[in-house]
Amino acid sequence: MAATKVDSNAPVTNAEGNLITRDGDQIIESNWNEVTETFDDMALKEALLRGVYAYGFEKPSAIQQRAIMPCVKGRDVIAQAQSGTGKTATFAISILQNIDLANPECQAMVLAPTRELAQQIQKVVLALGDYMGVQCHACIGGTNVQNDVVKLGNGQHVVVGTPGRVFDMISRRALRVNSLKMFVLDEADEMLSRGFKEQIYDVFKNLPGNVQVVLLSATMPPEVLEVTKSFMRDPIRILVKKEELTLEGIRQFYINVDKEDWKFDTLCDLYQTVSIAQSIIFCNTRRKVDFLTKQMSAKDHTVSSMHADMDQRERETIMREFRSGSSRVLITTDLLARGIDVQQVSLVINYDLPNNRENYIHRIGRGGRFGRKGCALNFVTKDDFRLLKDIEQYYNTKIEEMPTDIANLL
Amino acid sequence: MSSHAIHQAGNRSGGANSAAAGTAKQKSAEETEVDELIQQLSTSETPEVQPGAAAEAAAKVNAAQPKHGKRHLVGKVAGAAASHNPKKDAAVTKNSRKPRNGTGRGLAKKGGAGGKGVWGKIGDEMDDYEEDEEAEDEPNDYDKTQAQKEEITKIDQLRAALAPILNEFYNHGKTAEVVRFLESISIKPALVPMIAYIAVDHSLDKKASERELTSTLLAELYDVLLSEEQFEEAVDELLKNLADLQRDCPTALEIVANYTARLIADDCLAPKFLEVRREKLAAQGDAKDALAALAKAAVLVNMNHGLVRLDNVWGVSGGIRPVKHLIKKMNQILKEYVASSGDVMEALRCLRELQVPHFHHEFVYEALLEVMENGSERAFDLLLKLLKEAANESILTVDQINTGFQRVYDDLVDIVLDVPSAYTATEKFATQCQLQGIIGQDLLKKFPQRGRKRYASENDGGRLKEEVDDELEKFRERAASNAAHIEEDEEDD
Repeated sequence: MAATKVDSNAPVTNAEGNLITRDGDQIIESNWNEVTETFDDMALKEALLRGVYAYGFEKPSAIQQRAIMPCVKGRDVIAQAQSGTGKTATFAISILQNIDLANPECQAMVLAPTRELAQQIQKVVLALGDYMGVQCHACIGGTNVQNDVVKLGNGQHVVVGTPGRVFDMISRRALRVNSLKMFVLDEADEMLSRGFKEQIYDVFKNLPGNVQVVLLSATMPPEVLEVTKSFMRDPIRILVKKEELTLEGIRQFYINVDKEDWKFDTLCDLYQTVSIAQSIIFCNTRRKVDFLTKQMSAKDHTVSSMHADMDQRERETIMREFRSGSSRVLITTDLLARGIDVQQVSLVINYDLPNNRENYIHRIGRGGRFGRKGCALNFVTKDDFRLLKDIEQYYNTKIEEMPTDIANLL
Repeated sequence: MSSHAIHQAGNRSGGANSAAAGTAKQKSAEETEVDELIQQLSTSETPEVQPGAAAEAAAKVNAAQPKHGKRHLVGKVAGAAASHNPKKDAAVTKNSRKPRNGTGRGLAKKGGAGGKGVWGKIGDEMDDYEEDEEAEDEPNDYDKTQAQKEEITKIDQLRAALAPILNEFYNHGKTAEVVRFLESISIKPALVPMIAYIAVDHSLDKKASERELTSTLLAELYDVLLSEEQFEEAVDELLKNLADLQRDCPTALEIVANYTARLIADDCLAPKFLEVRREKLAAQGDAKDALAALAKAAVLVNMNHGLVRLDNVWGVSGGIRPVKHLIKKMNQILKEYVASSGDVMEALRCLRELQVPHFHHEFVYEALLEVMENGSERAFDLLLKLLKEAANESILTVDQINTGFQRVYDDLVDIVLDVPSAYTATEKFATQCQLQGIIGQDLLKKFPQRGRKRYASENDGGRLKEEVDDELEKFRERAASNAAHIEEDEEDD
């Protein structure tokens, strides 16, 4: 750890004997030095590989390159990285590779801090395993307890849920864990900070002794270390230190539009004077997304818009449409800011400044790994100026007034 | 003839009623009409001709008015519109000998309720709402737009419809957007209280700042969509399902207690509610958790200055808060840590609770300032320990630590004016940080030259001085822009 200045070609080991390598901008510490750079090299089942590509993955992320193989080989793995680095897909792929579809019993269990995340994980597993016919169930509880019991009774290869919910299912004998091979703790730090410690231990006590444990976490507080010590045998540690998102290399400007009503005209002016290959426009509310979509379409722009209440498939279709270039403007809200990673977008427009300062980087920040340049434009009304200053201070960055030669910058 | 006029007027009022935002002007015109009608009715020579029609019209007028009340309540102008005095509008009929203000001659009534210059009976404003609910079946244009959408009859449907709206709300924080959505869909009346239930349930998956927003939303919904009884129903439902909620969120009990207490502070529930429910549940038995939650809520409400304090029941965190406020918070965490607790875990827990991971560089910055200004060995050791633990746990990421150090480096030229030992103290601390592996060698190397000192010793008054001045100038510019911004803030406060 002492040596963070690493020559890109010469791997260095730290005090704990962990290998420190660099992948682009990312510094990675690990006691495992195998790197698999493509999904093809991972020797995945064909149906799974198809699912992976169909999901839109092209190249594994840093953590996926290192963590998938040891997971598949049955090793205990601790993967530590900031959110949004592809941790969910890492264990989802490993699970799908390792389960035996002929056996209807539960072979993999994923614990997540919230119901919402549990459902997201379920969706990822189902999407990646689309061509395999995998059964994956997220235990929701509430009015659906009976439904959970029935579904589990039908046999599920993968079960996802919060620790409390999963333990409830086990103690009701609705969930049988005799065939369990893999036990995944996602966002372990978050789970423990929500007070799930007891429940995690309760679940673990009921599992077969030889179960493989995979733990993912953004931070490593002592409680998480304790869990790793009590559950895991000779684990492989992979630590990706670099934050995924950065404002470096992104030129940020603001346009003074004075009044809310003038934003649309300003936007039209902008699109008229400057030719922009592709851009994303962020609004704060869906009503504005709708409004803007209508107005832009009326002016003969090809526009796609994304909503929170569209299902995953619809969203994917729209993203594909946008990625392929058949529409040039994508209008959306913060809710979908995370995870939009479109390489060719040169311009992001904040039609409204984000209300939550944390969202700013999710809107315009880029994966540092790709080292791409970009440009961000913020529409600022009189009342917004303070918010703009706040954002500058929050990110310790500079947002300047848009120069007149903006065309040259895009 | 009179019945024809009545019908027309009734329809007209219904039509105007559907107009999205009935302005006060429209309303007054309409009320004039209604007043006229009432007068015609009461002065009519032949009241027995078509009593059915008259009653029907009266019912319509009645039904129409509370609707107005509701529509107006949506906007913030509710009070203004409600206090509108129809007397002026009735002036056209100045030769009439009937009372002119619609309520009487302006004399006080028995019981002191109606009459001139009086607010009306306590609870009068609630009656409007009740009638409104009964009038729900009354077809008018407003309802027609609703009917186009399918009525939501199941809680799961409602949950599915609300989830994206709530998630969006956590981002934009505009209660009006949620209200607008809720008004645009049609929900089975019995299911309406479940809006509050689902909002709370959904926030269990989130953190404090989202819960704060949810509480704000619930308070806004009061009277617009939800009545006290409906809030009670929602809380009852939460208490009933507490055991199940706790499975997915171990702290659900506390959270429900906080929500209940906050609802009381926001006047959505009566304080009496807690006692009534406790008695009821105690009588039923077998509701330990629910009772515990109610007891917790009661403690919160009955605390000294409890109701005021409840405004902060969810703490004050999140990226929605102004930067100035966040800085203050971080400063407090550090001050408390150094001055008294020395509890690393507690300090880091507080930092995490702020929910501003991309602003953590400020925490590093403030920590370095504290090292300099405090100057004691104890502060030095404690803060080193804190940063080391935070870096190990990755609560402070490499980028945030680097940014924090870099900012201090950049500002040293100015800090040294107030803290003479700034350079030595920072250099010592940075060196220790490097040895402990908190920062890298490269960052340590970037430590700025002690411009001022060298300038004094070399005494050439040449290039170096300019450099220092340049840097100082740069700093001042930066500081000025921030200060202007903060002043603006203070003006507003």
